[in-house]
Amino acid sequence: MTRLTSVNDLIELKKSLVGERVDPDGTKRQSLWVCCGTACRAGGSVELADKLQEEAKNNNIPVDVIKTGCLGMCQKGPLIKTMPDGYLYQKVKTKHTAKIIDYTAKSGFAVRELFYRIDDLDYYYKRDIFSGPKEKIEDLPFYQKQLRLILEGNERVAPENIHYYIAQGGYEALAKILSEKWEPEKVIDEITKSGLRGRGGAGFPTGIKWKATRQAKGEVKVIVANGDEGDPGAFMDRSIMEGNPHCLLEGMLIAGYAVGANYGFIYVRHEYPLALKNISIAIQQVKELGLIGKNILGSGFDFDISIREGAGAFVCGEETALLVSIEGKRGFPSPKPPFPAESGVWAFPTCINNIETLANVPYIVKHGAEKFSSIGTENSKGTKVFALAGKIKNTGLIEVPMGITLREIIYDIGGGIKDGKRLKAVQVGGPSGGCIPADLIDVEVDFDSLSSVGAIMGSGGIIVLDEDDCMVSIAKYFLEFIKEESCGKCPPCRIGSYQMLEILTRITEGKGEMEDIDRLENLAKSMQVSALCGLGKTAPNPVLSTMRYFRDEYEEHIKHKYCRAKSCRINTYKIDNDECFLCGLCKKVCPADAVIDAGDQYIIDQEKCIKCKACYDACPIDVIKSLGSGEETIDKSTINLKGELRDGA
Amino acid sequence: MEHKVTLTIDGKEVCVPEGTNVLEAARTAGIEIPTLCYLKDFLGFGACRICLVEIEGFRAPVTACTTIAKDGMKVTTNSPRLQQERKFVLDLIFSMHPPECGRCPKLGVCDLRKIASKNKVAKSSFGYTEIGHTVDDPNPFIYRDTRYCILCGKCVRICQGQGTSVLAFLGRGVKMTVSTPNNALLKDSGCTFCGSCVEVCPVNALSEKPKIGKGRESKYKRFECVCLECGNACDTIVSVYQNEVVKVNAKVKDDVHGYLCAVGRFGFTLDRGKRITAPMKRKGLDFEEITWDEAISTIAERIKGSSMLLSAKLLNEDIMTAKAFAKALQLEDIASTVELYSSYNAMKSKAEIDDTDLIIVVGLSLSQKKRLFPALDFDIRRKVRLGSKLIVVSGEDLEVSAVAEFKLIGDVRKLINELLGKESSEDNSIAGAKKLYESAKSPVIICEPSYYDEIVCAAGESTKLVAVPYESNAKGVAAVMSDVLEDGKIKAVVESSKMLYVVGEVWPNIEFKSDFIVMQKPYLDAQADKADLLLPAPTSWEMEGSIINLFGSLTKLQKALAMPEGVKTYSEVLQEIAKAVSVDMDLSKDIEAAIEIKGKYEKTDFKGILPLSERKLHMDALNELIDDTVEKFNVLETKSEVS
Repeated sequence: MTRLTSVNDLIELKKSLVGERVDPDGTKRQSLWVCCGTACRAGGSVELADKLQEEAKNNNIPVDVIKTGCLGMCQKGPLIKTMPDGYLYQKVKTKHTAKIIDYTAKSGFAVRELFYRIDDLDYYYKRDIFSGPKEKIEDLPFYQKQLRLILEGNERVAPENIHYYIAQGGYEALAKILSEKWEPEKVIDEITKSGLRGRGGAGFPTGIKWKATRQAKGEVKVIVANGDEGDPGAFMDRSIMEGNPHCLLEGMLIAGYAVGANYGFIYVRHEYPLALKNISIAIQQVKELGLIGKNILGSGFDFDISIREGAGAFVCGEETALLVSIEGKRGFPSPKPPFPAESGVWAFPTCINNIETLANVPYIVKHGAEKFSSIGTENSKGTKVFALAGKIKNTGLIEVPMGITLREIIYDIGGGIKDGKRLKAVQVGGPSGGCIPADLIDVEVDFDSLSSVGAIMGSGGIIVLDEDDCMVSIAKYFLEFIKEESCGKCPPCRIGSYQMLEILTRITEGKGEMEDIDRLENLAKSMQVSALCGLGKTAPNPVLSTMRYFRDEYEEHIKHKYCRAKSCRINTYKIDNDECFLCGLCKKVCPADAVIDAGDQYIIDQEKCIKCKACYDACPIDVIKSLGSGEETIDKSTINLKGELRDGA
Repeated sequence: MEHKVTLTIDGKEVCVPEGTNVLEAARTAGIEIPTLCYLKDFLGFGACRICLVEIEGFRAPVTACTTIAKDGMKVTTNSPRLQQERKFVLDLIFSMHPPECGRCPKLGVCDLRKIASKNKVAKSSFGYTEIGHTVDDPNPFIYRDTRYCILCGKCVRICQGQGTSVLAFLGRGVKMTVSTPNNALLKDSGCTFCGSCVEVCPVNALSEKPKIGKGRESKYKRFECVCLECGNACDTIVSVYQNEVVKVNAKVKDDVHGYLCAVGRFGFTLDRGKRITAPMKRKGLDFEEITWDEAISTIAERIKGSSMLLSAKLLNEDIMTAKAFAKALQLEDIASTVELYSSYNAMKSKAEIDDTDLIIVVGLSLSQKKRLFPALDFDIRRKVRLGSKLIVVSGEDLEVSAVAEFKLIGDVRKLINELLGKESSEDNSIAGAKKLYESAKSPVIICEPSYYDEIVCAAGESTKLVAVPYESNAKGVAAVMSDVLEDGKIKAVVESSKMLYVVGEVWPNIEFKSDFIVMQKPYLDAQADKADLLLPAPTSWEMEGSIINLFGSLTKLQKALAMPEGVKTYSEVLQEIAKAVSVDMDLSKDIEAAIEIKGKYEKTDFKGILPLSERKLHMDALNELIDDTVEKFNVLETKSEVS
């Protein structure tokens, strides 16, 4: 590749590319865009793409097979988008390749059996009675409510080839700044005006952060992109790094220009091999093109980017820990102040931004702050990428405008709860976030509304919980994670999380006392004050938010030894002999031989019963009841005998 | 001028230099903010969360040790909310710290217990979970028990800060421990057994093995002594329990722990040979005990015209007596071991490194690993950590060069002239170092005595320069006796065939040619074998007096132990001999006047008798002794395990 020495060179390159070598809009050439995100890869999309290529070659059909980043609907992968027709094929197997080449690539016909269909009758009858298969991306309910500013790149870019990014307008934002000779302050102003807030969790205004770094004393300044995404069930940053690495690089270049930095580090966790690979390729390519290095596009601006591989500690997502980890030391967080903007990597003023934040920057510069700030709510502008997971039909990666409600995300985009179960709560924001109960899902998704209901935006993991999820166990699950991932530096986090987990374990084992609830609450509140870093300060959030909305579940566990989700093994199982028709299945499945055949009835021997729930699941007519210890003690207004949820809970 | 900031702490106005943290600022105001992890001179760590304070305008409490004092700050150190948080943190710490303080040998000197008592926390409300274990580390010096560890990280930071970097954190969460690389044994991990980690440990996680089973630390009697083993002459605190030295610590100066190497800290446990408790006379290959009277009269018979060799490990008081003795008896052939490595002139050099902004080390072999002026190495690193710059000029690559701004390796004499003198050099790093030297406000040069004259010639007499001796009180000898002694006389003294009276422990490899040698020293070691008459002597903690340390300042020693019966001090013996030959000695008690450095600088060009390479010899012997002890301990341990 020839080195670009001016903005004109870039424009010329783009002109020469469009339609000739690459065709992002798919207007001129037949192309198949095969999703090669991590989830689709696991489904065999790479082999699929190779086979398509081979098939096309064998049949002499001119078609571009392009491996893209994550297209979002991971549940239905591997996905293929065809251009120029715009079909979306889902769950494609290698057996379909011949057909795809034959029909679509050769003649532009669709392979109808690969279209997405709404397979749930409930949904079908209620909303979309006449709907047939969904042919195109824009027809899919999963995509309809989304606004894909950042993820759009994943659909139009081949991550391993910079030409695609340039052809669809990449590096134009940088070129705009350099050719129009923007003052760095103007860039910062633009970002401030756009209202962009950090996407890493806390939602700190990006413009202010940049300004602070710009104003900090020091000749050497550094930009750090935080790609240490460690929340369970979150993969937003990974998808950007894998699918559209140049967007991140461009964002870093602009950030570097704005704050006066000449060095950039991308901190990526070791567990993201594909992201690491794609970013290294991207860096190699921009180096060859002269888009990073000395005198970028003849403007006199120097910027260099290198990758730092993290070892996978969750705490290294905390900015101060990440910065020392870049230095090659143990990832210990340190108290703030001093903030990284004053003293960061090797004590240089450092601007550390989340991957997604930086990926927003080119859009803002290119389209203007006003266009960006027209999206979203008053204090939260733009879009947010979420990783949708849990008991939901369509899991995957979504990007929605700020201000959308959780209900829209769960029911319209996510397609509702799996297996016709009822929604119980939504866990937003990962281990530092909180659980929002089902009756509050009309809350708008933005920084402030979410924190008002006790959750946080976090990095953007949404885990949907249904009636089978015990809220105490959910809190326990997250604390287990925190306990393992606590760096160990300060006692509140190191020992506090351990002690909280001990109490929660006690409760889920039916050994809790009522005082434990107060104990938990006090522990949680003190931890929030006294822990050293963000990890420790937010670690009690899952406990506090579940206690806030599901206190009765905690109390049931303690008082009645009863778990309404039946996931903790503390419930007592009894057979309602009036209705039992003596099929004997319960006796058959019982692993502990606790079901006694008494001739005219079956009885569960409570001494032997290991509370495994096998009989309960096996009973064909639901006459085995899951109860608390001692029927009388159960407040029947809270729980009906079947152990199901109260209405509305 | 240093900038100052004024802040209010608990209503008290405090004025401190810019850059001071709130914890230090409070200390200057006499307010003690409790802390477990703060190490003075190191960056605040902020781990223990005990030093939380409230500052007006800050949302949440912050750690005082990491917060830099700013003008107009309003700090509260002890509000009910903070007390509650402190109690909470202590409650958590105690849930993983053995609860029975009554059994702990550290009771009374334990920082955790002190803070807990102040905050009225007796034990944890969570009960006790045992995390950690006694570390099975066969070495004779350091005992580790991670059950007690509160992970304050002091040991890790001091180990890394002094450049040893043996200890580090391992693991995460409650499973985190302080360990060595790959969990190796201390002796295999590059540990020098300096014990700095033990020194700073606030609890019983690290302790000195020799004191185990010897009572509780709070019962120890403590004495201020000086380690006389090498030229570094470190200030020590010697703990005595039931008339036995059980522990030696470095002196704490302005809340900063000093450094002691393994020899200084654990040297009292080493096997240095049998203690001499009575005068002994050679009988064939062996010695036979005689009475003091017999010994004194034997010496008195031959003392006239005999020669005398003084060890530079003697205290000022003994040297003064020796001087009076030599004058009274008109002894001509008198020399001290200083002449082996230095001119007396160089030993009169004096400087302090406290306020320097640039340290230049010239030609001196510093090494913590080989225990060559290890404390000086530590002090230099500390100064560098606090912002001073360092230039190393040396013939070999030193460990301390790792923190140096410039390291110049090559012909030291040539480099001295290029760096400090008028000669110019093409070399970039020399030019850079020279620029640094010229722009420095108060540079201090620390040199090997051989280079003293060159440096004075190149840099001028007004330069702050200190030549480092190889023996603890070489500077005392030079100050007290340089009018009597003569550079290089030692050669004649050891080669004379008259009676030689060796006072104190001298360099191990001196060859004596005298036909009758009297030695006064505490231990019956290899060197004592050369003697014809042996006199007992006190060890360093049985003496009281003073020395002049390497920076040229007077340091006092307290007497920590009583001498064993039959042992007399050096001065007593000299006086008795004088009495036996009926000579009057002019004894002056005024040390201050005696040690005042007299005379102006004169160029002597005397560089010492020993070649540079042989000057580490006496430390080599001690190192060997330490290694032997560690090795032997392993054998013992393994043997007991097998049986």
